Amino acid sequence: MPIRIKWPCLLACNCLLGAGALSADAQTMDYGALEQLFGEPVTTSVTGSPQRASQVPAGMEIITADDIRRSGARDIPGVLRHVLGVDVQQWGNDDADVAVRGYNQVQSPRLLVLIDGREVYLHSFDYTAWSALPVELSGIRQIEVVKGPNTALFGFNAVGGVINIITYNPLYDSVNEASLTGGTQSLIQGSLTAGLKADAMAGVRVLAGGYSDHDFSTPQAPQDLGSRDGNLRETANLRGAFVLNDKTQLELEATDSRVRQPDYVITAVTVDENIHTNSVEAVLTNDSAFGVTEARLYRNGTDIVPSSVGLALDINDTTVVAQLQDIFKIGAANSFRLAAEYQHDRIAVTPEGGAELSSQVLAASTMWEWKIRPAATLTNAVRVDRIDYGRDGLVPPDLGLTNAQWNRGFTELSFNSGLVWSLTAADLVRLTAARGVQMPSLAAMGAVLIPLPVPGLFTGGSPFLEPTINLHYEFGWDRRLPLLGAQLALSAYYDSIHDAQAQFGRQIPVSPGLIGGPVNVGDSQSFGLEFSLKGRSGDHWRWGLGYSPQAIKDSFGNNPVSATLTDFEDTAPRHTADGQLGWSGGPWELDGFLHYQSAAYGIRGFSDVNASAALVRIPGYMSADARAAYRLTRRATLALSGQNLLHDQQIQTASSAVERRVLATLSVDY
Amino acid sequence: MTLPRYCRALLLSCSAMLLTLPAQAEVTAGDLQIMGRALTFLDKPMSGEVTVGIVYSADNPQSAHDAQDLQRLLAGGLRVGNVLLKPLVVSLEHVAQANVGVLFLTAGLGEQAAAVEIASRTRHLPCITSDLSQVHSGRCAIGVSSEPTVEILVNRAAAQASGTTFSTLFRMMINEI
Repeated sequence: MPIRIKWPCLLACNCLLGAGALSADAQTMDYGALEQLFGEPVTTSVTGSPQRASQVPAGMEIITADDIRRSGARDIPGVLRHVLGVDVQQWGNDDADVAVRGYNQVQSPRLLVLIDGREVYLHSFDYTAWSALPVELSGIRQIEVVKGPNTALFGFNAVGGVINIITYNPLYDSVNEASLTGGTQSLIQGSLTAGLKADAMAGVRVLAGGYSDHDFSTPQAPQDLGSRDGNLRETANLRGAFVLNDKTQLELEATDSRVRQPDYVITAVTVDENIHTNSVEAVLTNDSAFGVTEARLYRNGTDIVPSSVGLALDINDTTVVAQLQDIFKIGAANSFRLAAEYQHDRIAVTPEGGAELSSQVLAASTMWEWKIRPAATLTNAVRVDRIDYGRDGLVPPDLGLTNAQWNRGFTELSFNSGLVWSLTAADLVRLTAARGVQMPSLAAMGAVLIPLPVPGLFTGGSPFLEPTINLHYEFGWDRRLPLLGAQLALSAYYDSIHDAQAQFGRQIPVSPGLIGGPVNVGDSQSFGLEFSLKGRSGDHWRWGLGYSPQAIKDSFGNNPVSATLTDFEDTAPRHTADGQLGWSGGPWELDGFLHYQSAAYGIRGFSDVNASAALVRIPGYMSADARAAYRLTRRATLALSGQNLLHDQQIQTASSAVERRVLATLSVDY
Repeated sequence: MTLPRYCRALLLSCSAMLLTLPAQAEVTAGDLQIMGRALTFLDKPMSGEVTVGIVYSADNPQSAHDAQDLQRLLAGGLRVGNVLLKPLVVSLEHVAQANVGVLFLTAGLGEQAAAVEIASRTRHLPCITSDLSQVHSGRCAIGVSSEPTVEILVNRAAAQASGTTFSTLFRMMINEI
């Protein structure tokens, strides 16, 4: 006889069952313990609630610490380039941009990047400075790659995808590693991951590292302004986790990073840049009868100084973010997340000075996960963002604009819906739909206002930008193949982008004095497929194959690439394929990776403001990465790794050709 | 074609055995690992040495076999996190008095497991099993299976009655009834 339980009873049961800790004296996610329990990585990056990687309502890849180590990469873009559907453009030795499923642009603006939930994507500048991320590879537990918009959870920067970098938790994990790397391009790199735990009540962890090297010595274009006189990176990340009582935890973090390197910037030329970022963060988590409540407050500071452009540019931004969320479960089948967020950004107008741009964001979101039956789950998430821009201070008289024209605001709705159904013990299908929103950044709205040699004319950001909307639909099918020890994954996706934003348009009059800047260029549609097969054979072998065809169609009307430096259709390769093979035995660990992409075009800018940008043909290419590691002792490992091993140099982007890189790393666990 | 009598008898015997075998498979080392790890996510986490009461009935061949397997797999103790699980075989008749910290219910006991349900409720002992039918019936609070993928099933009424509580986040990752 079915048992009828009334709603208050359900709530009472929920309270009784829910008043507990996730693991010993803990309310936060113990990723390691949960991964050991379920035999697969777990994540909160898709819905905000914890889920097993195989059951998320989104196209997702989780790169584990083992994958990172075996990749032989020395930075995060080097790890991501082995992931099907992730497009990495290696502009220079230490400069790369990353995008999901095409739409890669110079200083790619469509991919949100976080470290442990804190945004490290520079949203006032519309890109991620990968080398300035305050994290060391040895301190990363996993990198979670969400393909497709996820703005209903993370807000309007997650329009093309999300990369959430999860580091080891100082309270749960004991990871201590020091490494020293030397290699081609005069590389000397050091890295330290160190943790200290006081019983199970407190833990502190340090990630610190740095390198010096020089950029590729392959020919530069005449318009490039990068001097290549020595790249430098120094970062530190201090994180502490404290158990306040058996239901409450506090996490504190402070980071700092400094980078000097040539960067391929939105004008499609290379310039030297000094980047300084810092942050402080506090996260308070409590598990009570009302669910798991998390309050997060952080401040990000960013200072970017392009040093080789002949202008006193100093782009200085401060962002303050306050987030509050509650995750709870009602009854046996319904989980919810309620969240609210406030953001305040402030950026000084440069190089003129005397003015400031700001924005305020208020957002509210909710997620409902309904377990329709044990094998089927429907998830719906909705978020509303309200952003208001403003400008204070001096306006150049020739510009033809007033501060009041920056007093703009947008209210936009995002959603993510997904049905995940385990049809059989071996088959799982996934249907998802999403509406993602990309709001104009402060840099795009005019934080950089450059006077041109012609008196009275300026180039820079525009206050007239409109939000970009991305509608996304996807079907996925995962099938386990026990006989092969493998997993087959197929997905088909369609994206429709409205009012796509060009990072930098030239010769487009925005006002009488403003003749260039970011513009909405039009619409774009994308359709693609992804096939991947990954498996293990016996105790020693691991392997993987992947192939992805993709077609993009732009409808940019009277906005030619020569003026907008934007062409998604021709710059995305139609075909990409990846293969990997690895073997472990005794003290040895050997891994190889192949990547192929078909011919496409890149975009080259010109230093003369009156000239046009041009498409540059990038031939199809195959690249190979590899790593061989030998465990010298129980604690010490020597690894030899390399990227782009097939050729001394190879054209992969519109920037300088990449060079072969070979590295030797001695790492010690202690 | 007519089969010899002894062949028909053998076939009938095999068919009868197949029909009478319970649906659930034997407990595996994988199941045991999952059981141990699931216990580390209890609201009141166990630590140190914990005696596991392997509850069985000598009259039930599958249960007895299961108990043998569990005892063998736990021999010498199973360390999971901060917990060291040590086995103690307990017959159904003595489950009410057994000095244990957790009950591992062997498979195939059917309604006989009512004694385990009572012991779990009255003594507030977590009950865990690989026999999911016992979780559906409410006689045991937690069920696990490791093949083909890890599944954890919790009967909320049985869990509440036995004081077996989990955190909100963990509850979101398991199936509850």
